[in-house]
Amino acid sequence: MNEARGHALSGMRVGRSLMAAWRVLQRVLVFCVVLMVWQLIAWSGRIPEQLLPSPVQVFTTFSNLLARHGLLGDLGASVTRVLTGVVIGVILAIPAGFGLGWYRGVRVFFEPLLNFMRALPPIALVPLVVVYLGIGELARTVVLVYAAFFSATIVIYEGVAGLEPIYIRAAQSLGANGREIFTRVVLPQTLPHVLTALRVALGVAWATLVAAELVAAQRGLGALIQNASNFFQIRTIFVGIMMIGMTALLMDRGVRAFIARFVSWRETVEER
Amino acid sequence: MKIRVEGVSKRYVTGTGEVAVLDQVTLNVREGECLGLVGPSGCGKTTLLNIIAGFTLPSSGAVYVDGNAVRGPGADRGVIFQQYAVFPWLTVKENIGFGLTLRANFRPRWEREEIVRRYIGLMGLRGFEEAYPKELSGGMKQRVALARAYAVNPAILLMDEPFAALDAQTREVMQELLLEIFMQETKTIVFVTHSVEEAIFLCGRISVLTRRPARVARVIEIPFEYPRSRRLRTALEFVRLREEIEDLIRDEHSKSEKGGVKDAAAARTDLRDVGSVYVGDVGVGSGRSAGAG
Repeated sequence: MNEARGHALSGMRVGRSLMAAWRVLQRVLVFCVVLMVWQLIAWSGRIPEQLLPSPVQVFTTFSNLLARHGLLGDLGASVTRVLTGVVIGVILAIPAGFGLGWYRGVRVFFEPLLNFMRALPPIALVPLVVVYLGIGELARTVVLVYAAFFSATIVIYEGVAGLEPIYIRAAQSLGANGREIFTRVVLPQTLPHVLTALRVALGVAWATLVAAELVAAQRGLGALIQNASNFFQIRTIFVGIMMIGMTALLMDRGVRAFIARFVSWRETVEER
Repeated sequence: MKIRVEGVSKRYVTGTGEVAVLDQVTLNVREGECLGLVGPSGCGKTTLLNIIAGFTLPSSGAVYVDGNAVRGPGADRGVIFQQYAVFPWLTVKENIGFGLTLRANFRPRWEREEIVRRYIGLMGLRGFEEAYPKELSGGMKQRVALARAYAVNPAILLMDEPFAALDAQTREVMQELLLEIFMQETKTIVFVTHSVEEAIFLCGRISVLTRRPARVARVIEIPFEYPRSRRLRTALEFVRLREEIEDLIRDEHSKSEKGGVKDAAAARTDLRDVGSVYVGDVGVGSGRSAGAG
């Protein structure tokens, strides 16, 4: 660290890139600590390795799966499913959220139903989905769309319902007609909420993935975990869990970077 | 008359019953004058301005602009809000040009840019053209809002406590800026404020409203010539006038604290008396509730 400090003082450029590196390190620091504690527990031998494999063992299994069992194929299948579910879910949620946010009557009528549907765990729907839609890709996608749609709808409608009427008044007194108010005032103010909805839907979709892949999926990270649990392959289960977590995390960072870039006009708490 | 407010009443239905905010308000605004609206806090000044703007419909009575009844907001009446209402998703330049991109008063790009540049200069916003509102201070946001309203060249400007959220120094600077622009491009202005000092400094006439439900208690001609300088604020005549009007409002305010709904009718006849008293004799009216002052 002392050396790093010395460099930072010697030149602004070096200092800045070191700052960036430090910021990245801050983000992953907690994972390093968790891995270290985990490895220490494994080394201590208190917990049998059949129950808690060490990080090193999990990594070995990871490279095995990657090389011989097509782990990337599983990853690809899951990413495709999640993205399909989220894209369809959010696209459907945009008009639904606007309708609910803009018209009080619609909101009062539908809100209880919306909260009821949202509270249902998607896994509870799986048997019904299988009965109605069979065990194909459609059934799996529907579970994900369901999860993404309801969470995104709520975020969007709360955003629309919370719009400041003062901007609409300001636009009106500058001569804006109804269509202009919608496209030039309501839409730009809603964009951040749609992007937040995208983030929330992505998180929910990843959380629902295992349930969706309960529907007789051959490939996918959720399917990998389920197959492994049938054969008590704890290490493979750990690999599956960590892959889901990391992919979800990276996607979330991606959406956040996108948000920061395209709605930079917002005053956010995170901005420091 | 540019604006005629005729017998405008406004009642709101709340959970506990009906609240009357405005009661038969009648007043005229002359073309090219700045009319101040002052009164006890919560008396309905803003409601009246919103009705003139067309944001709110009166329960009875009507507002006429150039003889036409107001049915909704329009580009002929620019509005300046206390909370600025500068669009946060647009830059300073885009904010000022916003009205000129709308169908109602569309201007081609080159003309728009020229107008925007002019008001950027006039409002002292040079160097901030590409800034977003979150980077601006309150005073600068209000300059953007003023420029945005002026850009579409409305005949009327309705200002709702526009400088109330600013610090004292910025407020005085903004008042002087407004006077300066008022001299260059005369508009008919209705200026709502709770500051009597501000109203006297800016306005040609001041309409004092009664407590809620508000009526016009008195219309006072301000005897000072335009252009006005900042020195005016400390002139003896200015200070005296200010005290008189403030006494009148304080009197109104103390009535609103003591008086219940029961004697509302009695209070109203009371006010009619006050309304007929000449400006110089305000002491008669305020003497009655001297304990409150």
